[in-house]
Amino acid sequence: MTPDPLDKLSAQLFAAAREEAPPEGAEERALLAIKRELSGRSKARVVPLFGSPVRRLLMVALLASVAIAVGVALTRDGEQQASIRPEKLLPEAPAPKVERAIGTTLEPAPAPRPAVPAVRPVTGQVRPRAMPPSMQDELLALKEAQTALSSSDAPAALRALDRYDHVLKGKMLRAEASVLRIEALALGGQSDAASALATRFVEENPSSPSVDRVRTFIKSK
Amino acid sequence: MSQRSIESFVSQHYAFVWRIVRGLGLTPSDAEDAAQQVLMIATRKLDSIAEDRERSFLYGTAVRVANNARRSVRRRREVPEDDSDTAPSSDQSPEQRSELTNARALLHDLMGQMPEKLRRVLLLAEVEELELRAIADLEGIPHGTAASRLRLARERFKKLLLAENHRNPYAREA
Repeated sequence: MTPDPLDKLSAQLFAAAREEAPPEGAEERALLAIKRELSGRSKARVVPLFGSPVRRLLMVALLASVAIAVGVALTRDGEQQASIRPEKLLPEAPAPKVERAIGTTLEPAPAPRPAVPAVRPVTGQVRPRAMPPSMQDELLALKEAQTALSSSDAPAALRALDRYDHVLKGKMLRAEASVLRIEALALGGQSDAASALATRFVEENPSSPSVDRVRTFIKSK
Repeated sequence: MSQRSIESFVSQHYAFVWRIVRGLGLTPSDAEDAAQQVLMIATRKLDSIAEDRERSFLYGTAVRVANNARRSVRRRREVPEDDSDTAPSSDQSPEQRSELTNARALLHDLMGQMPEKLRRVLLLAEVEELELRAIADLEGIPHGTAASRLRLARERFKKLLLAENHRNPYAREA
């Protein structure tokens, strides 16, 4: 009996399917995502933003030099720095109440809020400026967000990223800021918002090295 | 579950899960997402899955996830994604790669025209090369039903291939 040539062709098509391998690194990415998932939402980050040891060292060196420079500047004209610091950079501080302005002289005067906090947070170094922010400024702002994420403090991370977006108006590390925001939203339980932002990120940054990591935040519909 | 056993679980089953979801009509990258989802679901429930039922659980989950993903893909895309983003073998010439890509595209088109139940048994028999007993087990159907479905699936596939054989890169060689 002559074998049916269609059987051979079918077999060749199925063999082509058998030989097909998953995209490169797919298994590793899956494992990474699973480990992150299992380690709990509070540890939802997959890979640190400044991942490799070399980049981490560079970051530390960079941050140290920025801290020294800022420290020197603060020592020289600390009062001046404090006076030009806009109030909107201190969202944690309560806004002055109207009653203070119309209060009687019998009332004890409210304790003045110190112009500069005793322990000045890193965020205090991010100031609005006429000139565009430097790479160091942007790195510093994102480092703060990353530090907050590392401590599982999603609200603080989101505040730092808001400052990056709206006060610093960072441009150079916008993609990295988006990745951190996605992680912060996911960490804070806003998985729908994280998914939406991740979807947009993947569409707008298809060649970003973070795209695979970001894709893990996209919910399947 | 220890990290080591998660690694071995993923390593042991990843390719199987990926091939199943891919064979059920997802593009390579959608198959990657789906495979990840399947394994994530499985690892969450692993403590309650008997060791000899792992593959069965994964298969059932993969079928469900692939069906959901296909519906989702249909909603969000009008133009299907390129099918050629799987890892190429380094010893393939561009012609061979093109031939394989065309063959896989044709296979997916043909499989896509088949009823879901027939498609699944054909996938298990021809791509996974499983025996009828294993197919029946994974599908949760009697052995006889699996045999008749497979026979029907092969007949249906051949008819579809006959109609589309002009696209078959191997037919041009023959």
